Amino acid sequence: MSISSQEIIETLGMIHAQNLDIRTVTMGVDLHDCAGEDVTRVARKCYEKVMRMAARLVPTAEDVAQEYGIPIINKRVSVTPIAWVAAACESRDYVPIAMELDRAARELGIDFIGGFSALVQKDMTPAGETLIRCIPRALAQTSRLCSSVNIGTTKAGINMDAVALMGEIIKEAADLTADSGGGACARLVIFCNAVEDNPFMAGAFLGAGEGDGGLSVGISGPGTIRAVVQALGRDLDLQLVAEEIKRVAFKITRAGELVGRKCAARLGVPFNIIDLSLAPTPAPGDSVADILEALGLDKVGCPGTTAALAMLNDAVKRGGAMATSHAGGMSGAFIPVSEDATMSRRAAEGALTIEKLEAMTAVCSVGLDMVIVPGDTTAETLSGIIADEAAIGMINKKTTAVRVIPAPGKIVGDYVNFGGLLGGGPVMPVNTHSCAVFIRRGGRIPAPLQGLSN
Amino acid sequence: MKTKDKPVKVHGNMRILAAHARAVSELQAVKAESRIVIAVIGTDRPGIMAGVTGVLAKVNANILDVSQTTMSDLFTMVMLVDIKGITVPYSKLKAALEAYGRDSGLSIIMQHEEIFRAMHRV
Repeated sequence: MSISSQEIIETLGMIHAQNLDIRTVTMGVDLHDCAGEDVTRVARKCYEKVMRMAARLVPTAEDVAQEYGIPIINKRVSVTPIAWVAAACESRDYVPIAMELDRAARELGIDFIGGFSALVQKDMTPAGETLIRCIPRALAQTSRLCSSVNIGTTKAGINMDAVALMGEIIKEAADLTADSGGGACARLVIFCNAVEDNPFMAGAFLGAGEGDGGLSVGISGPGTIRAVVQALGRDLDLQLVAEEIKRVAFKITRAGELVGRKCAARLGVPFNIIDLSLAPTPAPGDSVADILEALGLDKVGCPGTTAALAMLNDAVKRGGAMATSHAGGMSGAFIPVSEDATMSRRAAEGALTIEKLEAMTAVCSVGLDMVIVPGDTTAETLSGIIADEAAIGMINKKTTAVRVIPAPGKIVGDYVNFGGLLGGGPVMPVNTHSCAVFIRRGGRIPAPLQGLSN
Repeated sequence: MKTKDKPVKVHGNMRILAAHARAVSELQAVKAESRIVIAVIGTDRPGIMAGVTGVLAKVNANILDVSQTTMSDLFTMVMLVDIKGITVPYSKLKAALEAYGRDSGLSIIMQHEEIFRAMHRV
């Protein structure tokens, strides 16, 4: 089979001129076998297992990236939700486990370790509630640990007791890390319909049935897609634009899968999935919002934004699905406000509002992500935001999530910078009318008819 | 041999590479895993071809096909090379080519052929 000159050029262009990269390789480590009654011993066993299994992750990924000329930006580990691992512990304090996981992450040289998590979509177990109440301290005392809580699914409904609790937990985590603008909240995701094989942070955890030690890949490439859209000009009809996006997504996914499989083979572990998500970074040219504006929107957040994003999200999924039979994770377009320089700018300009972001979450793969709100936003309002996102996910049978940061002491007009991949963004206005009575009712929003699919 | 020229950036010269890369696309027989594509761009001067092929010959790499053009001052070349029998690790060859490129004011890109196949075949 021959490769044409055009294909050579296109590939070299994507890799060397358009910054095609693989956003993450993430190894899943099952920690069920570390369970026990003594939390200190459990923590130690978790540390030792993660260290043992991921020992070669970073050097192997760097070798493969060098060889194939495609950078692998992050190396990460996701673990079994700690609420399951710690369930037999006599102690009601799981922070020692958090500390040991964080230590393993630092010693391995990985940038995040995800899985300080609980799945409580129908009801909380004692261990689930314990884990949740430990989250603020666990995040405040660590730098690389990520946490997530699943509070609803299409089949279970929405656990409104957990939703109410999570509003308070977010506030507590923000207050404990006020000096970093509430930075702990950037490592906490509240999900509806969480996926169990997500390689991206902060929502990664290794679900049940996912095996042990498998390697997943999260691709990226907003710059590549934007370049393609821009090259198509302003007049091409949307069907043809979608087709071109689909083709590029195919190529990006193939490159990602090749590199991911090489990494897995060299590590001697199974290849798990490839997550075909367009994930932006704050770097110039790496913005998903830029793609939407290249499609013909003056400023992201204006009318047409939701439609454009729906088209983009679907085109990416189609191309990716053709490229691989191992698609998984979130697989779509991400819209984290502080991590996308253009998104952040449009929010600061007032062109992009939280209400518009909420609409956008109905058609793309994550939810209200890296949204900074005023420090005096109440816990009940945060819970209302979570409940709204969960409802969108539950009814539409998709994953939605909330990663929101109530920056202590900050008001609309302020800017908070988290640095690195977390970027920075403006404090966005939130509707301050109260939903406290609604939230305090608690209980469960029952599973919708969409859940009765048998 | 050192030169004061700065390496020519790849980005602006993709079209020129395309004009002649056609020639390297018809190759058979050798397993894809051991084949690499090398692209060279830079200001033309005597000895580039000899220099690059010299680096490859030294490690026992087998050049399967070459296509090159000089337009005005700009030299561009794409090669398909089999590295099955090379006497050094892949990373050493890559480093050697990149070092030669830096010393000569050239951009030299080395890429596994596998990537091209994976991205462009359904």
